[in-house]
Amino acid sequence: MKEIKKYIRYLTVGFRESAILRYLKFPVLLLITGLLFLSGCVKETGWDLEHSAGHKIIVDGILTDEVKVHTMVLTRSVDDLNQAPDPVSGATLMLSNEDSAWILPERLTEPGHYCTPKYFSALPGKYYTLQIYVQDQVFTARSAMTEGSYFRELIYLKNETTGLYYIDWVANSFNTGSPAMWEVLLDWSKVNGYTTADSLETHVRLLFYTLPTLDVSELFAPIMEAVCFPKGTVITERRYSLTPEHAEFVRELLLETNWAGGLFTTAASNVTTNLSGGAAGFFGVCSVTELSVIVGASK
Amino acid sequence: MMRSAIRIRITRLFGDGLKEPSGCAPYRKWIPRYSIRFRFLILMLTVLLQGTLCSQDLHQKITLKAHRKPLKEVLEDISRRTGINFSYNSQSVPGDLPVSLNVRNRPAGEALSDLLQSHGLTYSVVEKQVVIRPVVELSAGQGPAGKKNKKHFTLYGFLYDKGSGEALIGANVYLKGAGIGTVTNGYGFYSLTLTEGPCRIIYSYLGFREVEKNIELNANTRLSLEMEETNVEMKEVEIIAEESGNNIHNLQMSGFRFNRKSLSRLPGFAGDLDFLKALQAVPGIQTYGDGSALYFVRGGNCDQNLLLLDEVPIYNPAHLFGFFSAFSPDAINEVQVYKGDFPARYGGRLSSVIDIKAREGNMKQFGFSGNIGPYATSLTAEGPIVKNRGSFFLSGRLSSLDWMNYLSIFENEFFSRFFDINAKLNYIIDDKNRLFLTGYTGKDMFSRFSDGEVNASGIRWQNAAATLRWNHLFNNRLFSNTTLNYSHYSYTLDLPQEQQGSWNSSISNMTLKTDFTWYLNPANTLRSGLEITWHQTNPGNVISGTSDPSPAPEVSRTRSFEYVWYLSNEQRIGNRIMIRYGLRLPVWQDIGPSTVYYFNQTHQVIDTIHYGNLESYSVAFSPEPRVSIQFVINKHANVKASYSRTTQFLQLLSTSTSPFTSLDIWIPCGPDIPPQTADQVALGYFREFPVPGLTFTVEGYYKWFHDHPDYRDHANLLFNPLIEGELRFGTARSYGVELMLRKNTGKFTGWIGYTWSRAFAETPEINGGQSYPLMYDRPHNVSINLSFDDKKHWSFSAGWIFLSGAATTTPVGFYYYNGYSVPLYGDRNNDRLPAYHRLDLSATYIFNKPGNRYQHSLALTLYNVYGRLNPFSVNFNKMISDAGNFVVPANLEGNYELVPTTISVAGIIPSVNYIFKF
Repeated sequence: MKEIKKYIRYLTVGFRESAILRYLKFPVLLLITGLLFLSGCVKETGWDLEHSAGHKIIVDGILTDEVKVHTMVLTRSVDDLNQAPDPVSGATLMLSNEDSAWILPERLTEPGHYCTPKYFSALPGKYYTLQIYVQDQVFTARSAMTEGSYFRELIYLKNETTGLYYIDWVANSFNTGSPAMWEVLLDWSKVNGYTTADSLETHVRLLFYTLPTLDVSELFAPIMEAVCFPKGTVITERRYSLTPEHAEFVRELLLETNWAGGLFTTAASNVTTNLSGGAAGFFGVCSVTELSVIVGASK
Repeated sequence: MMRSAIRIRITRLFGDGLKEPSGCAPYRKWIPRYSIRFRFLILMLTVLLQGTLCSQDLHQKITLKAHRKPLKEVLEDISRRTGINFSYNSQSVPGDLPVSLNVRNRPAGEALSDLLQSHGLTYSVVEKQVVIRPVVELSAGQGPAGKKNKKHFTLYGFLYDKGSGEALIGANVYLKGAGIGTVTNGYGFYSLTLTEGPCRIIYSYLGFREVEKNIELNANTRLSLEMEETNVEMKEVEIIAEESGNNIHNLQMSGFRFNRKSLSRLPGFAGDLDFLKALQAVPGIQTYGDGSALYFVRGGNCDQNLLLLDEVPIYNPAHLFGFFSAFSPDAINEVQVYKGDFPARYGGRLSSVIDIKAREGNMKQFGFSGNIGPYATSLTAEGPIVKNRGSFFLSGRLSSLDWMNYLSIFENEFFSRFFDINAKLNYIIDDKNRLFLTGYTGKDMFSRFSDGEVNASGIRWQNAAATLRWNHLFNNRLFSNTTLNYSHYSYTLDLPQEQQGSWNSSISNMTLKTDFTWYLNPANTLRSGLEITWHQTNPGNVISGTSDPSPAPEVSRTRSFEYVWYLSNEQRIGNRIMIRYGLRLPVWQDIGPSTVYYFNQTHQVIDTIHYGNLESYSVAFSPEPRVSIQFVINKHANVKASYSRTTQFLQLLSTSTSPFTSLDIWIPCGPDIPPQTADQVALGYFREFPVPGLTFTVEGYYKWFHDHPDYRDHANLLFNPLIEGELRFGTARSYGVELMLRKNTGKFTGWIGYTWSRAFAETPEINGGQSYPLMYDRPHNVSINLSFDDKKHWSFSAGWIFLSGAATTTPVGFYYYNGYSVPLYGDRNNDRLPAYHRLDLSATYIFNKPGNRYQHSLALTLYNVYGRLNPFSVNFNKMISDAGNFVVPANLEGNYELVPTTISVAGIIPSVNYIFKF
């Protein structure tokens, strides 16, 4: 104890005598330190990319158990970021299951969009095969549907500062039993004050997922765009059931899109596909369940 | 210049009338300077006079027990008991020399022989007076006797720090002018067998005053010394610890050593001395980036580095993802780095061994020290348990990052905290036995807030380690160390609150081993050891309740035994050639209970077998030959070559490209995972310059990696019982040249290093089977570390590092799917990130006068002085929001425009630390 007291006395003398400390204002210094710490961040950059991918055929198509016209979209990959993709016109698409086969004609108004008959719906327990003929190339994919299920309505909250609403919860991101994709469509085009606004400004499409896997880059994903909507917005929530193969495709897709660029990033590589022949994308078959709510309406 | 004195212990008849001042140094001042002739005359007269005063009987039996007591006191004790008078020259026989004796009913003469022989002393009876003297004092310039038919005797003992009593590790002990020498082992022990006759032995250690002893070696002689640390008052020339030329005989290549003093001269992070940052500036060792504890050695992955703290492995040496090292800097005594040419006693990893010796604690006096900084505060206490016999050391560190949350530095997004505790006890049982007990634990917590809720998701990791060691000296040539150690590492991922659970992986091991060092003869030193280790891993499972109705699949835990035997010999052939050859034989055995999946060549499960308790299901054996040779060209230069094979049975599975610890899954080799092996050849040239402490090293190496693991694209490592199926195996190779100019003494110290290196892998199922650069293939690496110490109040240091950008995979095109813009990739690691460079500066002002026991100082450190934003990834998935932030688009209906972005971690990080010691 005596030693400690002696030391404290010594320190006091030391500080008094020290000229350097007179000029050090600790609070100021700490503040500066704090402001600079971890000032590293995300920066926009210019980047020259190597263009060696060619122009791959990309298939974007999901069949559901809804009775409607289903569309398969065929495009080609592009060289540069934000470059509009070219549609693949003139292809022949044949859809089949164990019992039937359909030729999907190209929609005249939308090149690259190939449609099923008007009252088509996928059936559970069937395997669907999509065959695509583009010039002398053939691409094939096969998929089946897993059972759909009813679900709990999403949760939205009000931001008291802005008076606008935002989505707080849609579904748990991890569930080993029933992976799903949640499509949330927001429409406030009928809300007073927005009726004359451009359609793109009053319609939003969000996707959420429940997957049987969990990734660190998912937990520490980069910040997403905030979407707010007014009272009276119609929310349509659609649940797409996913097969394990489809869920794995979605996981890899998210690793390369929504979850990329966080603090815990993983090695980049091509997203898997169920298409043969060198095409990319995915052909899926899903069961869809849906519900709608109006924001602010009493339940 | 000679200073000497006659010191006489007068008999009981005269009582203690001629007491000398205690302590050697004051005594020297007190002693008048006499001419040699005069001193001799006085000696003889005294002897003659005393001879007439009492009778001597060296045959009378005595019982006496003394432990590390000053020689003077022990002789006085014997004198009291027997009436024997002693006489000695205090200049050549220091009265404060700590000695030990434990005799029961033994003749006084024998007891005296035992007492003196082990300290290089002898006695003779001159006219009934016992005269004590060194074995034989020599005149300068005498060397070893080289005549044939001469016997060999062993000079052995321990070297200690005079100030603290701690062992000096890696100190040089060599025969001056003969090119024969050794270094103290990890416990400060040395043994040097020489031809009988006169010899001049030099003891040197960086930062300590060199000691030179002239002895006549005519018996096995124990000579333990306490070396004095050079303090700031000394002239520059006096801190030269290593005589030019003695490094030439150091056989070890591909190595690097830091002691506490040299570490303290490097700019650390945030005012902390940081051995990890220091390591990353060593040629051949690459950092990953800012704030990263990951390091890559000669083309090896970061899990191929073995980090030992007092012989127990530590699996994650990082705090705050790597901004801080896991060990409090106060706790580190010595860091030995091996990048290749691994001694046979080390194994289990392919690329490097970092052997850290923790401080033992001051044997002589209590002390406290601390480091108070804006990000972490550490406190240390140490002192003797029993003076000169046992000591304790206790050090703790706690982060102080909470203020950042108050200042919104983390933008209220993150919460981070860490702590660590180092403790050590050591006790000298007797001259032949010593015990050490070391404990370490450290924990990190990092959470991400979600809507204001703490711990919405987060990461925690914890190291815990303990080791009990027993040093035993069988005889003057055979030293053993037996170790029982335990290490546990746990990594926990707190799942989002909605999941109400957490994921945990862990690895632990318990080892019992014995290492023997046998200093066989002047030309051969044999080392051998046996080791058995019990390993357990949990590759990752949910550990707490979850609301998920379908729980996560269970990933089978593993249990394994590892048995190791090794033998090596260090052989001197003439004065120019030294060779070390050895063999390490590790055997790995996986045992149940475990569920094992067997995969076919397309990675599909073909069989599943559950093995019962202790049932063996996989055995791997991999002999590891090691050889190195040194040829001394001349007094200042040598060339070295080495070959070593290493095997790694445990691997860390990770697909992360983040500089941070992001997911730690350790898994052993087994039916689906072959052990990794590597062969390394290296060739080096070493040269010393006439400028004290200035050395130059160049080394080239080539390394082949076999069964090198990689992963399928987007491998799934969480909740995956079939985790082995995610791995792909191939080969890898690395090669490079490392150059280093180093100065380690004087006011200016530091090094300049340059490395050119490459690292490639070839895996049949990856990149179309074509060779691809590894992520850590960074061809050019420059590091400059310079320090200046004015020996009074100021010290400055600067470190600059440059690395070629890390290899990375960037898109060669894009496509659109369901509203997403998806990158399309070509070859793996087809691109490079921008080059990494960073300058760190530090300045320390010591308020005290040099040599004052109370010391306090203020250290200012600047990490990344010019604010270089070194990116660790480039991405093509973000847009600029209305608020000007970079965000990932959520509305997939909208027309968003993406921009390429890079992510970096640290800007300028200043720190002011207050450091005290008393």
